[in-house]
Amino acid sequence: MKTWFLNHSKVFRRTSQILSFLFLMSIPFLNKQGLDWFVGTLYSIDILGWTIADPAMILQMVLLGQPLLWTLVLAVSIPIILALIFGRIFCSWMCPYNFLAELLYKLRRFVFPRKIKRNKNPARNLQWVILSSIFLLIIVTGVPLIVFLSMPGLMTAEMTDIVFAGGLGLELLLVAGVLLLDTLIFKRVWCKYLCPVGLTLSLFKTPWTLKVTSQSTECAHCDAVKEHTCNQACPLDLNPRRPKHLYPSCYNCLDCVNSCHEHGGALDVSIGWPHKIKNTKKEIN
Amino acid sequence: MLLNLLQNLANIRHPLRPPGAVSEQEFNEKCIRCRKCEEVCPYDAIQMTDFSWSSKTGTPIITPKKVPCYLCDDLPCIDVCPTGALAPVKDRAEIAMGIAKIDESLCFAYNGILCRACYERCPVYGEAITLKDELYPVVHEDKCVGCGICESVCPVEPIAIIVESAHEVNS
Repeated sequence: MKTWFLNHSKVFRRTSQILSFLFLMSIPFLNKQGLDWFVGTLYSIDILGWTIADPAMILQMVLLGQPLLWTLVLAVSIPIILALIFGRIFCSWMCPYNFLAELLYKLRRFVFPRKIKRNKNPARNLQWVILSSIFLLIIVTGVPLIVFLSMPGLMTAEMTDIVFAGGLGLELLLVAGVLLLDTLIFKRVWCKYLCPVGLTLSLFKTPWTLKVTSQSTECAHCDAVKEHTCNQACPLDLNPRRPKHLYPSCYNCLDCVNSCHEHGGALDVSIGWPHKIKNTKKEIN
Repeated sequence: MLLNLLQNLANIRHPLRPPGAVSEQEFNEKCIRCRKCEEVCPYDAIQMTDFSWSSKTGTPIITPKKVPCYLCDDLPCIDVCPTGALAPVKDRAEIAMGIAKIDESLCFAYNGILCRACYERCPVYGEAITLKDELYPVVHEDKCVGCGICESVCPVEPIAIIVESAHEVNS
């Protein structure tokens, strides 16, 4: 079952991304027709009457000095439970910004193939420094910055504004700017280092959370051709062979595990209590 | 600092908020820009502020000249608000979005032309706007809910009766 899933995870993921993209973008059109089964944006969304809110937005609200109502605790419970069990899968399986960025970055890679064969993982804790500076800035200035830094929020909100007000907002320029810089100039730094929505979800990562594990002893196939397929598969240019520095940047898209299954199977996923694996040799960098 | 400038820019104008809105400062901290009120408003009266509102970008605003608030019986905008930026009201008379102000130099009635447009269409009929001497409309601030229907029906150009947001009245 697990192997079957991992062998097909990429198809499932793309399907999930496309469906959630279409779903989110169609909400305002349905609302315009008077159908209110689904209401809202990725700041907060109502699905058949159940309210879901972005934990980053609610955290911001609390930091600005507003009380955390129990309805809001319920509203953030589903994203938080998902993050506790599966990590940042919202980013990789649902986020409309990541969907577009992935496609655009793929296009860039297609036109300008990469020369680097091995990816580097981000410096440790840099993301936490960035996230805490964002929240500190919010507390000090009182400006709700997450509103403008939440790309999925801005994209869905702009769709609503276009349908209801008919005008294009300048926020779209912000999204387009970030998207183009992120994919064509930089190498996906937004999702890896900067996005407060994804990083807030990362706060809920525990040792039991779904994660990619690696056993470098099984890498012979890729070592022989000196090109590790997991490094090529990663949409964020991370190195899944070094799981220690993978998180919180890795958003558990599982593309690396998917690609590895055809080449030796050194990568795997683990969820729940981390049990010792039979062969605990030191990882090769 | 740039961010403080943004805050100051945001406070120059006073947006007319949807029914049930809490005080402006609190509103900006509570509103998470989710657009639900915009999406459920059956008259499309609620729209969102654009980038010129700097840090208040993406918050709900009603422009009575375009579409006023028709004060739905069930007030779906309040119902759908997840954070309590739009707080529940007991009945419609409790709503205090703003207060209508009449410019007597522009108003037809005060200038000898018979007109009762605002008086006749006021949803708080006979209470928020009354006619002095059966002719001249007068707004009663304690009764006016600030829906802006009077502003939307005023035939004078420029409009003689304009709703000031509660935020503006209080500041």
